[in-house]
Amino acid sequence: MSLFGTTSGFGTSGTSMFGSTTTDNHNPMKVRCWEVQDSGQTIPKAQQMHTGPVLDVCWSDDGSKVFTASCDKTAKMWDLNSNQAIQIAQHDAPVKTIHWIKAPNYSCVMTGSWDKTLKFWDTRSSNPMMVLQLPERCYCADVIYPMAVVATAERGLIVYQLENQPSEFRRIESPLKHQHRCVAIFKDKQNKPTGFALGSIEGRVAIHYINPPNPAKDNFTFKCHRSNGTNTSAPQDIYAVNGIAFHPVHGTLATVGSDGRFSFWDKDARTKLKTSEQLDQPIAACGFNHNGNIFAYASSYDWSKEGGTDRASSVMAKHAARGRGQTAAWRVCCPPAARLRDVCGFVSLATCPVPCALLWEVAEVTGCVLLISVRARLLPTCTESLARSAHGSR
Amino acid sequence: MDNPENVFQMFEAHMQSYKGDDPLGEWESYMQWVEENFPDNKEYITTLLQHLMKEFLDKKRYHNDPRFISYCLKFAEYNSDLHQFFEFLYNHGIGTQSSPLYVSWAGHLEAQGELQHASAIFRRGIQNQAEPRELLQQQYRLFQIRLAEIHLPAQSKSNPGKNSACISKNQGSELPGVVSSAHDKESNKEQRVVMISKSEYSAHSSVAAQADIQQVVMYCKEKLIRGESEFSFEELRAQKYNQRRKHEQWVNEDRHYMKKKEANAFEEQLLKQKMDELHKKLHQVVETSHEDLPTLQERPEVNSAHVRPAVGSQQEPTAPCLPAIHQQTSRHAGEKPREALAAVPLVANGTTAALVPPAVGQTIAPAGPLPAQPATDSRYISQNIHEFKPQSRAETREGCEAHKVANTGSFHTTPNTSLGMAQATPSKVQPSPTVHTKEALGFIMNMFQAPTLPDISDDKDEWPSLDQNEDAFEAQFQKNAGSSGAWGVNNIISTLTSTFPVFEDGNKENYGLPQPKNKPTGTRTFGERSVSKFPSEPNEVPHAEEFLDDSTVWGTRCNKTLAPSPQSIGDFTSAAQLASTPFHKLPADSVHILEDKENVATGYTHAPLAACKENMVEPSKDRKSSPIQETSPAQALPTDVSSASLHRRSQPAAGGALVREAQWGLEACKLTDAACAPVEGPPDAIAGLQAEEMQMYPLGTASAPNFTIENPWDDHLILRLLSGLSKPVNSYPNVFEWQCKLPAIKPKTEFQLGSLMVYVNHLLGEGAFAQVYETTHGDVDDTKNKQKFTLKVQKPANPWEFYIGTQLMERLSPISRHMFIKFYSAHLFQNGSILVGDLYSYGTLLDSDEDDLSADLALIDLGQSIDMKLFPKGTAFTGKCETSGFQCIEMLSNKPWNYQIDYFGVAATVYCMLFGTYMKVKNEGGVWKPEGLFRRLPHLEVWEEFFHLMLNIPDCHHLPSLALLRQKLRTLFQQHYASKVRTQRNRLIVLLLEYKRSRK
Repeated sequence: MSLFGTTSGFGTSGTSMFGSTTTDNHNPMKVRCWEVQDSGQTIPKAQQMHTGPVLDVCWSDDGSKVFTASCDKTAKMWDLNSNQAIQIAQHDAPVKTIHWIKAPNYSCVMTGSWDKTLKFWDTRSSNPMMVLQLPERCYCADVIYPMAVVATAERGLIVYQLENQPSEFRRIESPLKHQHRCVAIFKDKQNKPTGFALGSIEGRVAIHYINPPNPAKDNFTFKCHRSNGTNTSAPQDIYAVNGIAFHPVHGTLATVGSDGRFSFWDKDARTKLKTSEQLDQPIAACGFNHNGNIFAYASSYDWSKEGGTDRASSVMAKHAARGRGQTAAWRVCCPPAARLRDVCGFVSLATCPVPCALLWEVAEVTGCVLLISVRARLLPTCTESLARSAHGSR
Repeated sequence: MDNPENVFQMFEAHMQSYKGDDPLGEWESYMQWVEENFPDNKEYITTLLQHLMKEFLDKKRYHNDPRFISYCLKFAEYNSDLHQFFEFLYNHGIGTQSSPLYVSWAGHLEAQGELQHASAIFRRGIQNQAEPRELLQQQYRLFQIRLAEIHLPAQSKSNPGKNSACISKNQGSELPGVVSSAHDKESNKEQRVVMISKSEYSAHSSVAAQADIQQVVMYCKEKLIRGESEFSFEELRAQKYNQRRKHEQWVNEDRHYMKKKEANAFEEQLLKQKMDELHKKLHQVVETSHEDLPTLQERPEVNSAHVRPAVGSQQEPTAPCLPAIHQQTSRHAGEKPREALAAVPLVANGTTAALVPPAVGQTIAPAGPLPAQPATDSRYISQNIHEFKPQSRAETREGCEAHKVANTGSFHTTPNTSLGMAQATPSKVQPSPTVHTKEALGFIMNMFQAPTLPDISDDKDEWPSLDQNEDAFEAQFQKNAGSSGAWGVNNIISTLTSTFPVFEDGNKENYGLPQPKNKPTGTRTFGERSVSKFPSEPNEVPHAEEFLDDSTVWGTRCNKTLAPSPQSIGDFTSAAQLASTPFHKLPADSVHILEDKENVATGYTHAPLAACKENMVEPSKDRKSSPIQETSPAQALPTDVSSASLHRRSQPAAGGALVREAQWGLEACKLTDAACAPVEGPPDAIAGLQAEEMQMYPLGTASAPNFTIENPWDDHLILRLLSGLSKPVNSYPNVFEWQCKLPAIKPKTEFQLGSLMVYVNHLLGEGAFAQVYETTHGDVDDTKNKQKFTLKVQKPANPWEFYIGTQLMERLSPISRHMFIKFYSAHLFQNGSILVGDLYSYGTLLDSDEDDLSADLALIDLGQSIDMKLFPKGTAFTGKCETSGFQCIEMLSNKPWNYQIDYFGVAATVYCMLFGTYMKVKNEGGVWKPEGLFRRLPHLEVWEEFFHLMLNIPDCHHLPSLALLRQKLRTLFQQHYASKVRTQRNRLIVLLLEYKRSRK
């Protein structure tokens, strides 16, 4: 593990790791940094590569570093100052989640992997500070000090407390009936983490408080990212919830789904605020900037329709085709699933926590960018409605 | 391009060398890959399963491997007598401890109504302690319940509850109808639908109101649940990624294997040739000693006996002109050596050919003696130079000349290399596809590959826009950098937050770079056909920046475009520079690259004009102006070594002319139509054309004069040809001469063109010295149906192209006219010209009949045409075109040529359509062949023969019969493809429409 070094000693080792040793020319997996201006215009800034698809990204608290987790079983720290990236973590299976933890007495990177472990790294040592066993493969996680929540395969759900050192706080029986897909912690009015929203693969989000006064009443689930209302006789299409983000100021939340829509919700008023138009592709990830002025979402292929049913794949063919400026012609010449098997989209998107004039995002892109465009837009009407409703509900 | 069989061969090769301890694992990933890619090819999957069964039937350790069992079960699906098959497995000890097997088996029996037997199978499994035990027990319970129901049908109410109990195993589905339980194989869709209608879910659902709503999950749920565990999308993706890597590994292994094999074959061939040579030499020596003649006398004889006629006759006038040389040499020191060195190889080739009969062909030059010969050669060459020394040299040429001088140093080395003849003129510059060709190629490849199944490694080829999109990010970088003056993240961050220190030296590998030159290597993903290949060529460096800029704009504006955008100026410029009309001056910097080639690419001037004057056939009545008639050979047909570089406007020119859209129009021709009828398209048209010409000017009689003109594209030559026309271009009714300069032409503006007000819509494409605009105007009689047309604006004026276009229309039979662009009129200005032509938009395809499919596809760039009619019969050329990919064999081997270039063009076109890349040729043992592997090509022999015929033309007088060839190919086509034409055509139309739309 000679690749590990101190944060200050990046030097050339990073170069060799990411440049010449990236042998998989065919499919370099990139992490890209975009600047989002107030106008909503995005400007590409920098990029780094992994040897496998990148599954998650996050920022350090000061906005100087970006951490990336990859299918190549490693996690990397990308120092934006020097544009060097070094490996900081190693798992026995692909690393699915990565989070930066900033505690008063320590700071570290938490990685969750399909090897059923949760590991904590100080970024300078090749050995983890701590390894926690998970009951299953880690699927999604979120951290707001001093709380961390990890959702796993087979609907496992574990809450950790991070004070002094990370430790398991509680295992929670899943409020959902289907695979966990995304999770986001929300704060109370004192700005302390108090619960989380958990999204399922089948169009449902659960709002769950850690210590609610009245669990039966306070915790609830709601349906989202489904086609058609309940009043039609047509079958209802149910899509995966790919991402949840809480508004940093108003506490309202946004969800994005494979249906290509994003919606804003007021969890306190238990109402839907707004739903977007349907895009021609799923939305894979979303996030607010530090002050909630900008909502960013990534529209891309999300693997939800991979080799699916006839119906699913034909829909996908359409999507794929549109993304590429072509139409059903492709369906004629090849099965879309096959064609798209290596087309990867965004899976993660993180907004820079540093309050600055500009917003920094990192969006993960693997394989080709063909189908993908970053859509980070200023949505004045949306944010207005978020704010209005949030105030109104109080 | 892979078809399953090939992949399987690859896989087998892989397995043979597989040393690991889990062959089934390899099989598994292979099967997954196959199922992924050829899901509909059941037959193939069955065959594979058969192979797999055979392979592992006797491998005890796999007998209870769940993977193997699952394959057994899969294979069972294709078996007619399931029960027997299960018995067979059981007796072999396969899956005796595997619950799924028992469950399937029992399920089958149950479906057959053999309930007792099924029950026995369950019990047998439980007895054998099959794993996972729970599965078996649970299924057994369910089975018993079903059994009970049959006996107590009245109690059907209990059914739903129990069913859902079973389903709850799958993590409590809200909608039992959709749950696909992996181990619940025997349940089919109908059954499940029935369950939905019962809507038992409402019983324990809190949303009773929605009980009736049918819900459909919109993701690949069945993929996510495998056996006992669930998977996330990302896990699927990771699997795909790993599979792909594995597949790539196989492909690589296969490639290595093939390479090795080829190398061996080549070595063998070499040895064989050496043997042949030795034999021959031995023979020669024996003969010589027999005849008791001095070797020196013997050799010329051999020469004349075997040397190809053209070469032989050219050598004759060598001696007499000796005296002139030295004077000339001293005066034009820079120029001559180059000519000489080009010529020497040629003569050397002749000699070589003399030693080995042409039919055999040789790669290795015999070390045979060449006494005195080189001297003669150089003398001879110099003489030619003397004869053809241009009378007046354009000023511009001087610049080029200076560069050429530098090359003289390599004089001595060149002959050696060309002696071998094996590697005549390696193409240094990749032919650069122009925008149109790229597009056309994209289509063509698509069409051709239609019947084959997708191949991962080809993806990038088929998605040209990938490159562009991929570039967008980097390109935007560049733009940002350019506009802000700063580069990359750090600088910008530092301006924002003090926490980011300024970063000075960027990581070149990972980061966008300020120098666009390096960029493609570091960050490109799909480099192979991308346009940014250009920057790697020295002469393109200055364009690199421009190109990036353009792609930036383009990337942001329309990332949906199928192919390189015509708006991308840099792209087009780069392409056009290498392959367009000869009327392009090269920018000064590009001369550098050309000078490399001058060594080999020099013309071999040889035109004993005086000698063959009598034999000349008058091309036109206008004797006086025909330069060929001029008495002084020194004045006739100024030849210029450097004229090979087509793009220079520097050439002096003289008269002559003819018909052919030299096949170099290839780069511009919209060959798409040929996709429908791979063989019938352009070759047809060209063949027709050829036939016509051959009629008019019968070639190939031994007595035909050997008339050699170095460069048919020489500017001065063309000027002369034009001025010598019986009907001068400017006398055409649709040619307008204006004593003024070109009007300013910009998109979205109007300007006055003659009597017309023309509105310029947009720029269609741009070359170094020509721009093509799409324009509209209101009232023009001859285009009343087509409001839109194209303007080709060229500086300086290019009447030649117009002449060619007009001649084409005149001389061609009406049937084939549509293959070429039609110019309505030409406007000649003092400093440029505007050609008004058809707009080819694919638009009329829909309206056209099937037979007429190609109506709207045409050769549009006639710049490099030669009118053979304007030259005497039998005229041969020796010049080269600079676009190396379009250099015909004779150019490569420094032989005179005339129609060979068309044959080569046809071959190149066909190659292009077959492989989607430009043809590169190689010389293998004296036989010219296209590079690239043919082994997966259908009708291999036919094509091999085709290319052999087209590329190995003995000389200007022995041209292969195109009619015969066409006949052959047509027969083949009708045999194999006649039935498919219609579907292919429909696809083509879809593609074209698609393309048209995406271009808007």
